[in-house]
Order: sequence, then C-alpha cells, then structure tokens
Amino acid sequence: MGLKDIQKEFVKLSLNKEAREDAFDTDSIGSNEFEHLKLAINRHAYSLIRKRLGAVKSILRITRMVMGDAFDEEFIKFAQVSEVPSGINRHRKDSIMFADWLVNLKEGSKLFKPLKVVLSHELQPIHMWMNKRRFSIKCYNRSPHQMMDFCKNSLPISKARISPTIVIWWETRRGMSCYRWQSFSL
Amino acid sequence: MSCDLDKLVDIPVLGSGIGYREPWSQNLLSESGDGVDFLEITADHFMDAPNWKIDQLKELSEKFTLIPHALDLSLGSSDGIDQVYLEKLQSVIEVVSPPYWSEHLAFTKAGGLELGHLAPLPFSNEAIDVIANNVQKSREYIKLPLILENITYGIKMPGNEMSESEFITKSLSAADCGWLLDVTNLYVNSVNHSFDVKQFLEETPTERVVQLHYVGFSSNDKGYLIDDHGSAVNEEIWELMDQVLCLCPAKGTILERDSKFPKFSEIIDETQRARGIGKKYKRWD
Repeated sequence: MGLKDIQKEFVKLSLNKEAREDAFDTDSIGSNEFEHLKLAINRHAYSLIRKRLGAVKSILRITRMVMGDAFDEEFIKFAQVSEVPSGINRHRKDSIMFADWLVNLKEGSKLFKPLKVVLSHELQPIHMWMNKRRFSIKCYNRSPHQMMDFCKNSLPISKARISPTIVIWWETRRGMSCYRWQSFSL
Repeated sequence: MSCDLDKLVDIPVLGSGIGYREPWSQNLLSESGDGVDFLEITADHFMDAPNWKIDQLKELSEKFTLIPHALDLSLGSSDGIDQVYLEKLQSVIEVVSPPYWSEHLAFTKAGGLELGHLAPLPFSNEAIDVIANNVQKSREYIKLPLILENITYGIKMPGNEMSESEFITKSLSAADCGWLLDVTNLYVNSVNHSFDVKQFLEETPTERVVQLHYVGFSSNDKGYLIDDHGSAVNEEIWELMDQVLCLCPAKGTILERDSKFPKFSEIIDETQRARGIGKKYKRWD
C-alpha cells in the first residue's frame, strides 16, 4: 500500500462509521492494513467527533446550557450519520447543520419553538461572519434576551412567554471588535 | 550549511510569547500585554474573515511581531496541497509581514475528504518526498522561511521505514525548513511510545530549531498522556524545555493554551518562566 492509499483509507476509516464496520468485520480479518489498529482507529474517530463537539459547543453555548448533557449525546449521534463539513468555516457549518438536526428532533415538543429562537439567535453572528454582513435584523415571537436570562437562572426556556421581538445585530469596532445586539420586545 | 539554514540564522530573536486567543485580546492590547514578547496567530482564524477581524490583526501587529501558524495546508498529503487554501494563507501572511511562518509535519486531507485535525504520516521515504514537493510548491506563493512542527500521534501508521527522529531529520533536510519543536508533543510521544528524549535530541537537527511550543498535558487512567492544550505547564515540560533551550538556537517560545483558560496573569507567569530559561542560556536578553 502506497502513501496515497494509506492516507485515503485512514481518512475514510476515521470519518465513516460504516467503513469502519466493514473494514473491521470479523469476516474480513487480514484484508485491511489497519486491522491491527482497530482500537486506535476507533479511538481516533471518537476523538475527532469530540473535537467537533468542543468547537460546536463553544458556538452554541446557550443551547448547550438549555439542553445540558443531552446536547453532547445528540451531537455524537448527529456526527456519526452526517457528512463532515470541510473548509475554513467547518465548525460554523457544523453548528448550522447540528442546529437543523436539533430543530427537526424537537419538532412537536414543548421545547421546539423556544429552542428554534435560541438557535437562530446564537447562529446569527455565524451567518454574519460567513456572509460578511455588518448589520442584520431578526424577528422572533419570543425574546432571546428573556430566554438567556431564564438559562442563567436555570429556568426552563419553555416557560418563556410569547413576546414579539425585534433583534438588531451590528458589527462594532470599539473596544473588543465583535458582533453586538439589542432587542426590542412588545 | 544550506541556503535556507542561513536564512533561519538571520531570523530575529523574538523571546517569550503566547498563542493569540480571543479571550485575551483586551489584556494583550493593554499594559498587561507588555509581559508578552510576541504572538503566534492561528492563520486559519483570519482566513476569509470579515473586515473587523482583519482590523484586529492589524491592531495586534502594531504592538507585537505576529507569527502565522497554519493548520490545514496538509503538507503531508500525497494528493498535493490545496491551492485555494494556500492563497488564503498568503493573504493573511501579507497582512502581518512576519519573519517566518509555520505548519506541521502531518496531513489533514486525503481522497477529497478533510479530517479537520492533524494526522501522522508514515515515517517513510515516500512521505519525505511528498513533504519536500509540497513545501516547494508553497514557496512559489510564500517566500518566507517555513518551520515545521513535530506532532503527537496516537497511531503508528502502516508503512513506517524509520524512527520518528530519522523521519524528522530527513524531512527538514529534504524540505529545507526550520523546526518548530513542540516540547510537549516530544515529551508526550516519548512517554506514549517509550523512547528516550535525550537520544531523540541527539539524533535530530537541533541547529534547525527556530521556535518552541509548550503547554501542559493531562493523562488518562491508563497513564496515556494527552496534549489537551488545557492544563498548566507541568514540571516535566519545564525540565525538558531547559534541556532543549540549552541545546537549540531557538529564537522564541510560544505558550500554546487552547482551552480551560486561566487568568491572564497565570499565562504571564508561565511566559515569564520560559523567558527566564531562554535568558539562562543566552537565547535572548
């Protein structure tokens, strides 16, 4: 096996659960150069997922606070079946894809609508970064500000009352450059 | 002595620095940042970035020498290097005008897929040729000296033909690059793969060392060491840093903390300790 094949096989086994199951199937012993590395490859694959989780957690901090350990569990399930994003914005794309996964997962539950607001709010600076937008306006039927207060006080966000809200986001260069927001609720 | 080794010798002395992380941006730009001699920036964080991020880079570069450290050029890929990534990297490097830049002796991409993390190369002659060719291609875009970092590895890839020390020696020579010696990675590998650090340093081209990386490590319940970049610097690492700075003509050290950020004052204390070791061996004033 030359370098090209070794690298291709290693990447495939590291990223694809089905490929690992096929390669390390008891019937195929000896047919794969990585067979003796089965444990190490599985550990490596899991560590890649944990690294993705770490990056996504830092982007979706409020959602992580809302969901607790269920966030991590869901991400691991998501990562095992979803395509691994690529490029400079891979963690941002990962966060957007995982947010979609969570929204679909929670559809019909009490958490669905408030979680959708929290996720949309948390992803707004990510979209602004990726699209190089300096200003944006979002409308919600619940206040992200109120839900963040709920999170900080360990209250369930499902208790947040309906409150039409406009959130204005802008890029600031005063002090620590970043994106800032202000909300206006009825 | 090769031409590029002369260029490495000409790199200015930098002293004791840290890897730039967003939570420290205000500290660095205030007086407390005066305890840091230079910064290493993760080039990937500034690629395709909005203007405010590039302005931040320019502001930092007014106070500090910035060294771009790239993560995803994948110099060890047999598929070759990603031209688009290389152009983005070149743009970041142009903003900061550094004395050199750095990457890894590793690969991150193969067969059209991206690992999103560094993977080890087989210690083989073919891998050395790939590194040398890819570095040569990168020089068509980035003319500055390049230094390559030794990584940690949990997996010994199939196809090994030599030891890690021989692989590093031959790769740096074939690619005509400096060495970004990661002291923590060296220590972690020496424990996890049971080799002698002193012998390793005797076998490798320490004259090519331009910069050091260091940070703390953790260990699992089986005694396996993990370079988690989230711990205070362990005494074992300080001891090894002492040995390394005694041997190597390093121009600077970078504390590479990525998680579980402590108070900035603790970072400054570690930076100060590294500065003291360099001073002891007259690597800088």
